[in-house]
Amino acid sequence: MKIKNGFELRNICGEYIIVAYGVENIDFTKVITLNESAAFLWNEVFGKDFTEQEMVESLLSEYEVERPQAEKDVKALVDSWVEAGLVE
Amino acid sequence: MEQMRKMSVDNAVFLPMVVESIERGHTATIIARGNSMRPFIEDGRDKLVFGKADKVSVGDVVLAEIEDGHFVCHRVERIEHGIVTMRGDGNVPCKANGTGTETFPIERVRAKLVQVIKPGKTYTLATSRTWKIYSAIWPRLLPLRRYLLALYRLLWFHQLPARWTKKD
Repeated sequence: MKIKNGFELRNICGEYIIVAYGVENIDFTKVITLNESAAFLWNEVFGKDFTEQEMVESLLSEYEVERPQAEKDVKALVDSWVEAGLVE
Repeated sequence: MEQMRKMSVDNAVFLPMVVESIERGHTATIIARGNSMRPFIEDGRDKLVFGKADKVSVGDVVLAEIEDGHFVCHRVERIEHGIVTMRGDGNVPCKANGTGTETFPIERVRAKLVQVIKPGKTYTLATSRTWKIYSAIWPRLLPLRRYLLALYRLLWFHQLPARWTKKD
């Protein structure tokens, strides 16, 4: 899977938000925010095809977390991205 | 899905990002903040859609960076020799602010208001008859504006002027 064309991560006042440049009207009244680790993973996979497993490995290499927890967190994160229409 | 929460961001950081998206050819929707464009536009409730300001005319409502990092969205009152004067619909001249207008070079206009989205109805300014009538009449009522706005606050918000004090 990969992040759909047009979505870009921006840092504004310390918050990571996703701006949807793929659509004509950009609705800044409803934005999707990512926390720091989610933003890290976003940057890791941005612009390329990735798998959940690759994300887990990235997370494990950067953060102090146990594998089962990492797998659970990545799955939840990817599910939320799919639900929000961010990935294809 | 994650929960919804409110996020407040400083204009000086937020609006350049909004302007960037407009320069990239998009329209951008934000929530209106402040009372300076009353009575039509209401703080926190109405949404504003901005587009490119290719041509600026008197009567347009524009978003301008009047000083670096300082953004204001008001109605254009006059354009003379490349200098724009604008006035908020909800602003009155008074001792504190002099003429109650902002004056700046036209190059500082960053976007033009193209739609106002109120709960229940969206106004596309280029074609809305309501907007055209309001825009033609309201600026002409400037001598009465102070009283009309006071009436508006009283009727819609049950707010009395802050300087009135209760008898003890």
